[in-house]
Amino acid sequence: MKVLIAVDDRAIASRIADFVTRHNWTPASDFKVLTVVEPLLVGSYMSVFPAPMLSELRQDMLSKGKELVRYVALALRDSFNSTRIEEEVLEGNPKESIVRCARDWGADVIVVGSHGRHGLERLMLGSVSMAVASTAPCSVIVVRPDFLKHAEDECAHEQVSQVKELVP
Amino acid sequence: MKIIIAIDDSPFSERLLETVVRRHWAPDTQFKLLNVVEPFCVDEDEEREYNTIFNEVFVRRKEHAATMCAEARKRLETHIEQCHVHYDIRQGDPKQQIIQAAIDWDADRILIGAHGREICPHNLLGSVSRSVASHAPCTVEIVRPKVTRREEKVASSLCRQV
Repeated sequence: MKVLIAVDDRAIASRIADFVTRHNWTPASDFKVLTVVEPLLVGSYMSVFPAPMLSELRQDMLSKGKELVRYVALALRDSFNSTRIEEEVLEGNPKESIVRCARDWGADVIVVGSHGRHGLERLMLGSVSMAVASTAPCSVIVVRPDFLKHAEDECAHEQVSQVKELVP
Repeated sequence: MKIIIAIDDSPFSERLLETVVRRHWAPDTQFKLLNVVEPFCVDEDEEREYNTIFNEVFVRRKEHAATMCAEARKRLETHIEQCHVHYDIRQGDPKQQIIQAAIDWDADRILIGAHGREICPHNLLGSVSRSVASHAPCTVEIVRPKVTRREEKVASSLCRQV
């Protein structure tokens, strides 16, 4: 069985690693830990930044991605004692890159986190997870972190009280 | 580990069960086969002839759901060692009922079929699966058989013809 694990955030990555290590996989499964670094979309402001600065920023993001992937892979190696754990950092659109990687590698299952990183998506299913779940050529496991459940309740409560303040 | 398997009478559920049976599960895994029967919109105010027919259909669908779940249960019990399987037939909106079942039973995971594959390769997730994935209190697995490149090409060319 080939398992593709897509991670983007340290806190959620550790939860995903936890889920993967506790899951009963078929013996001799292959794992690939993937993170996708989005290119800088500064658009027309590109010329404002000096080129070396941009490339430095990109290198920085790539190395952060590598670190994250290594962190998850290490967690998996600790519990599986397996060498069949690949690490990969891709550049591009996360939604497309994850699905393409799954297709090229022939993954049987993709593991993604449930939560988005921006705005309201923090409370709901992230757009990347949703797109991957819709377009993947294989099964998708959407991991919901336990700690977020609590945070979610708190957040929802807070928002309700804010709305109540606004409505006389 | 408590796992909900949401099934209906579509071929996708058949594939879902096939995948579940082929997987490795920890001993003493608890499975709940969940089927939600949607009620018809029955006019409750008036005594109409079709109301009784609708009710009759609804009752039969529930009976059908029970036999389907019983079969699925037998299948899981024969193929997976040391597992506990029971089934639950609910009525109402499938999206809400699946999530409610997960909350009530404190499930660890929901397994659900992806739906939609045969229609168009760009809409590979049914509305129920999508809604469950968004709002479930636990991890959700959208189960889909692996697609080969060739199948995908055929599907996309079919879609273009449509």
